[in-house]
Amino acid sequence: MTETTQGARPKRAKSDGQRDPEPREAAEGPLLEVRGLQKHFPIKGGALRRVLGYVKAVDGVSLTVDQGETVAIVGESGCGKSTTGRTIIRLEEPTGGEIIFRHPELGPVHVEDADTRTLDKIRPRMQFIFQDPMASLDSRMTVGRVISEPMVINKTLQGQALKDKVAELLTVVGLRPEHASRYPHAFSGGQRQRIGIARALALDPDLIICDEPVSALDVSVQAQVINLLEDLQERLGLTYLFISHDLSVVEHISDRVVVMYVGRVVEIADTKELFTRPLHPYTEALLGAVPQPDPRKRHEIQPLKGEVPSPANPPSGCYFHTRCPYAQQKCIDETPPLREIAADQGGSLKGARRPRMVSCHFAEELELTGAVVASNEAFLAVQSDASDEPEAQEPGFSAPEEPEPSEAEREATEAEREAGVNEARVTDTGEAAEPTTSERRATEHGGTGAGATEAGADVAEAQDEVTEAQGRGAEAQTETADIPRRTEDLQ
Amino acid sequence: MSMRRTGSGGHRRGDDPGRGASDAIITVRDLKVEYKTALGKVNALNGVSFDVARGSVVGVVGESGSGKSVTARAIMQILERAGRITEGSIRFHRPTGDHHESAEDAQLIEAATGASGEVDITSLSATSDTMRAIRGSEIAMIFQEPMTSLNPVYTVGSQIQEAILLHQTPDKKQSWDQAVDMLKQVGMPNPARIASSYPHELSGGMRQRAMIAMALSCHPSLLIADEPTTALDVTTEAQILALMRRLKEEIGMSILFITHSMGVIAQLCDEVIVMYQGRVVERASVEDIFYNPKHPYTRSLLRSIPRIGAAEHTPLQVIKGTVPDPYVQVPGCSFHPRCPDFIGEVCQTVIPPENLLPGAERHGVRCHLYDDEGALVDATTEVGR
Repeated sequence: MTETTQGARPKRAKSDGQRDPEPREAAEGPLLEVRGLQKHFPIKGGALRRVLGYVKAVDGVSLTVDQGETVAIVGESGCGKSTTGRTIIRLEEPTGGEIIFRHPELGPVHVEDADTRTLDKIRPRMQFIFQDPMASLDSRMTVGRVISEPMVINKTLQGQALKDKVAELLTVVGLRPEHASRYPHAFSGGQRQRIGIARALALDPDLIICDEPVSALDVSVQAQVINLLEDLQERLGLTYLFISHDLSVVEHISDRVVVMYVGRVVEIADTKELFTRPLHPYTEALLGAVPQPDPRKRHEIQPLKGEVPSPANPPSGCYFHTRCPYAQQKCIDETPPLREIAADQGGSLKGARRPRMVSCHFAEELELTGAVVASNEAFLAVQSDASDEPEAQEPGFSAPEEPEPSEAEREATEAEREAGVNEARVTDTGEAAEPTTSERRATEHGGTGAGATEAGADVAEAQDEVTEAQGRGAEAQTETADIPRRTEDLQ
Repeated sequence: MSMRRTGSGGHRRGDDPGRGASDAIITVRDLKVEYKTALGKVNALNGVSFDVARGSVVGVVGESGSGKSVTARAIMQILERAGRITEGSIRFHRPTGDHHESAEDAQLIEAATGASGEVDITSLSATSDTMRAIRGSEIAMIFQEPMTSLNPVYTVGSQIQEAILLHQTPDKKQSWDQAVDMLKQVGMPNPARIASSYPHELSGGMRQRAMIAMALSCHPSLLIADEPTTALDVTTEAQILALMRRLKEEIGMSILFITHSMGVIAQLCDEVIVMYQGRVVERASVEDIFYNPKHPYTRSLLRSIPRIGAAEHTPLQVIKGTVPDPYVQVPGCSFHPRCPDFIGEVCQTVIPPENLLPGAERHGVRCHLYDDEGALVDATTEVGR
C-alpha cells in the first residue's frame, strides 16, 4: 500500500550554493519512503516476565516525503506519531516494514536493516528536533559544545573552522555568537528550542524530523519558532517531517498531512484539501474539535464520544468504528485498506502533490465537513485598526532597534547577570516581522465553506491558488536575498 | 439529587431582581502578590482588579509568568509558602438562597460575612476554619494536571466523597451515592465502576472529568479552572468544553477559566481578562476582545496565533522578544520593550491606568494610546462598527 511517485514536484527550488558546494544529482523519487512500518512493544508480566501481548504502537504505516516539502503527522496522544518518527531514524528498532531514505551519495538506502556503518552515514542526513527544549539539551554542556558535538562525532570540522561554524549556526537561528559560551539554563524556552534547531542543522541534513517542536512554547514565542523553521526551509532547502497534535500549526506549516489513529494511517492528503474536505470521519472529528479563536464560531459539531481504544487491545475492523458516527456493520467486520481515491470521487484535485489516500469503506459516500474557519472579521478587526494608526504601527515593525532607555535598561540587566545576581534569562534578540498582507489573506479566506454543493467553486478557487502559489514562489526567492541583511540586523 | 440550585429550571440565581446593585460573585481590587526567593523578590501580581459576574464565565488569558495561576491561588488562599498577598482585596459575595454546606460551615461563613454581605478573603488567614469552610464548598478549583492532582492511592470515588463528607454530610452511604451521582453528571460512562477505580486506571480525559466532579461535588458558587484542558488532546478538550458549557447552563455557576489558548477563550467565555506581567492589560467582553481588541498585547497575541484558513506559508506575525525576566522590574508599561505601538517616553515611565472605553459594555484597557484623545479615536471607530 504505497504511494506512487508520479505527480511529485519539489515545493521550493533549493537555493543554490548555500549549503553544499558540489552540485547534487537531480532529485529522483521521494526523499523518504516508509512502507508498512510496524513497531510493537511487548507487554511483559508475571513472575517470569513472559510476553503477554503487544502494544501495536505503529501498525503498518506507509508514507512518502518528497525533497523540500513538509509532511505533518497528526493524531491524538498515543496514536503512534512520535514512535513513527523515532523508528524512522532508528531510535526505536522497527518490528517490520521498510524505511527507504535517499542518501545523496549512496542512493536509496534501506534504513530498517542498515548496519552500524551505513547508519553512521545516514544519520547525519536525518536530524531530529525534540519536543521539550528543557530536557533535550545537556545542562552541563555549554551551548557551543551542544551544537558542535554532532560535528565532532562525525569529524566534519575542527579547530577554528568548528568555532566559526557554531557562530554561524547561532546567527542563523537568531541567537548571537557569544551565546556559545553560556549554559542552557540561561536561556528561555524559545531560545533553547533555537539551540536545538541549530544542533539539528549542524551537519547540513536533508531531512529534519520535528517532534512537537513548538508544543512546549508560549504562544508569542511559538510564532517566532514556526517562522524560523519556515525561513530555514526556504533558505536551506530542508525537508521536514513535522509531528504535531496542534492542527492550526499543522495547517500553517505543512504541505501534506498524514492523519494517524491507533497506530494506523487513516488519511493522507494535501493540507488544503484535508482541511476543507476531509474524507475520513476521524479527520472530520479532529477538525471539528479545534477551538477556533472566534467567539462567533463556537463548536457546532458534537464532540467525539468515548475514548481512544488501547493499542494493546484494538477493536475489530476499522479501529475508529467504536466512535464513528457513520459506522456500519461492514466497519466492524472488515479492516478498510488505505487506498487511493479517484479524482472524480473526491480524490486529489489537479495540481495535488500526491494522490489522496484514505482508509474508510465509505469515503466516496460520506459528505464530511471541513475545518471551521475563524471568520475573517476577527482578523481584519486587528488589521484595520492597525492601519488606522500607521505612525504608531510602522516604527515598531520596521525598526528592530530598541528605543534608547530600554537599551540602557537591557545593559543594566546584562550587568546584573554578569554579577551573578540574575542568571535566569537572557533577553531574546527578537525578530522583526513584516506586517502581513491583509488584503491577500482577505481575498483568499473568502469562502472556504466546504460541502458538496460548493465543490465546483472550490475547485476553481484551488486552481487559482495554485497559480498564485507559483507567483509567490518567485516572491519567496526575492525575499531570500533579503535574509542575510535581516540576520545582520539581529546581531 | 438535582444539580439545579434554583427552583425554576435553568434560571440563574444572579437573575434575581431583588438583589442589590452588586452582581459580582467575586470582586478583586488592586491585588498584589509577591514571592520571596533566593534570587530576590518577584512581584507576581502588580495590582489586579476584576469582577466575576454571577453565572458568567470569565476567561483569564496570558503567557506563562503573567500571573494567571497566582491570581487563582490567591483567591483560594493556597499560594505557595514563599508567596504573600501584600495589598488589595478579594471580596466574595456569598449568594443567598439554598446552601449545601453543613450548618457548621454555614455558621463560620456567616460570621465572617460583613454588613455588605461580603466575605473579605484577604482578611482571613489561609489556615483559618472560615477559609477552610469556603474553600472547596463555596469556591472550588480544578487544576491543570489531573494525574498529579489526584491521589494515586485512593479510589476516585473516595476522593470525591472526602469533600462531601467534609463540607456537607457525615453520612458515608449518602456521600458515596452523591459522589457516584456527580460522576454521572460529568458524563462518565458506568459511574459506579469508575468511582471504585484508581486514577491510573483512567485516561487523561476521564481523570479531568473526575477532577471536575470533585470540584462540583459541593455545589460551589464559583469554580476556578486553571488550564483544565491544556494537557488534553483536542477531541478530549472539546468534550470538556462542551461539559463546562452544559454545567454552566444547568447550574448557573460562575467560572473563572484560566488558559493560554485564545481558541478556548473564544469557545467558552463571556468575558475576558488579558494578563501580562502581573497586570490586567485589557478587560472586555469576548466579542470585543476578538472583534475590537485594543491593547497592543492583545492584538499581537491574536495576530501571532496560526489560524486555520489563513493564507498558506505567509509568516506569522510575531511579538518580538520574550516574556521578561520576573526578577527585573520593567518601568512604565511592562509591555513597552516588546510593543509594536510604542509611543515614546510616556510608555517607559508611567504605568498606564485603566482607561474605560465608551460603549455599552465594559471595556477597560491599560495603554497610553487610549489616555485621553485615545477615547475619542475610539468613539469614531465605534460608530463605524
